[in-house]
Amino acid sequence: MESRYDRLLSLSSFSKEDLLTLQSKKVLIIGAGGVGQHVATYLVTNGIEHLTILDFDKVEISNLNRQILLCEKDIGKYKVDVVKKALNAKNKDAYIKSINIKLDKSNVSEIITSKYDVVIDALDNWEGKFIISDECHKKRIPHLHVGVDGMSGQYCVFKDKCLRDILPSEVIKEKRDGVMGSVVGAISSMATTYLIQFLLNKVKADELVSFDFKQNSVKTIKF
Amino acid sequence: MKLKVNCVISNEYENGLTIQGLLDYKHIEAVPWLVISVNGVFVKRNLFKEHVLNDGDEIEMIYVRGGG
Repeated sequence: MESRYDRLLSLSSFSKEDLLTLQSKKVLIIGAGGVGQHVATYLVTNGIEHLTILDFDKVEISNLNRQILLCEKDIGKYKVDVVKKALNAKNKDAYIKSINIKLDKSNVSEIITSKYDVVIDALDNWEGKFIISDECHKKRIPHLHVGVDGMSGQYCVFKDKCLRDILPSEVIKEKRDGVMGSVVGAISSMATTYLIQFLLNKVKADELVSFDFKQNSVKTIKF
Repeated sequence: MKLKVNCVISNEYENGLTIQGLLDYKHIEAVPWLVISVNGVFVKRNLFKEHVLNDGDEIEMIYVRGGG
């Protein structure tokens, strides 16, 4: 009888022990938008079975170009409710917890706790990204940073470093572009693959990988 | 001297050029979301004016993005 992980377990670089390791991990995703939904989907379909996802937003029609777990019938509903249902439809064995709240400085210490093995910054603003990174750095919890805008984006698993090591706080003035859903999907998928490899101790942390689809270029920066 | 800047190799650069000098020469503003590496290693922005580039260095410039 086939199981949901047959194709994953037949991968030459992936073992049963790797799957057990992933199944033991507890992951917190902050932000259930374009990045959050792609990352969550590939985590719960590739062995992560303890996932908490946090967001406060409701579904709007403009979300649908990049937020793959949403449908038109979901407009007006809370994203975390829709996302939790969609993830459990893909993997009924996964324990998905949803938190409907906006992360800020006053509640971050209660939300980001040491019970998580990794935290994922899937927010769409620098202010929130700094709050996550600062708290994770303080508590020594690895965190995956993902940022996408226009035709480019980047990801990095921070372990010994944090966002403030590479960016000044003035970065919040960054000018914004539109975004193509496939670019969000591509960068989020790459970031998820990297995160899984990190959780399995197969890649190092503290390296920023950037993709620019206008120039078809990939760049890696070590800290 | 020869530098490779964003994958483009050129001999046009003067010896002793700093990272800030390179940015000025190329008319690139050091906006807060610009991240630079030399030979794959990140350089802090407070070192842009001091970090002297050497012949053969490879410089990458990345504009990080905050969307999600």
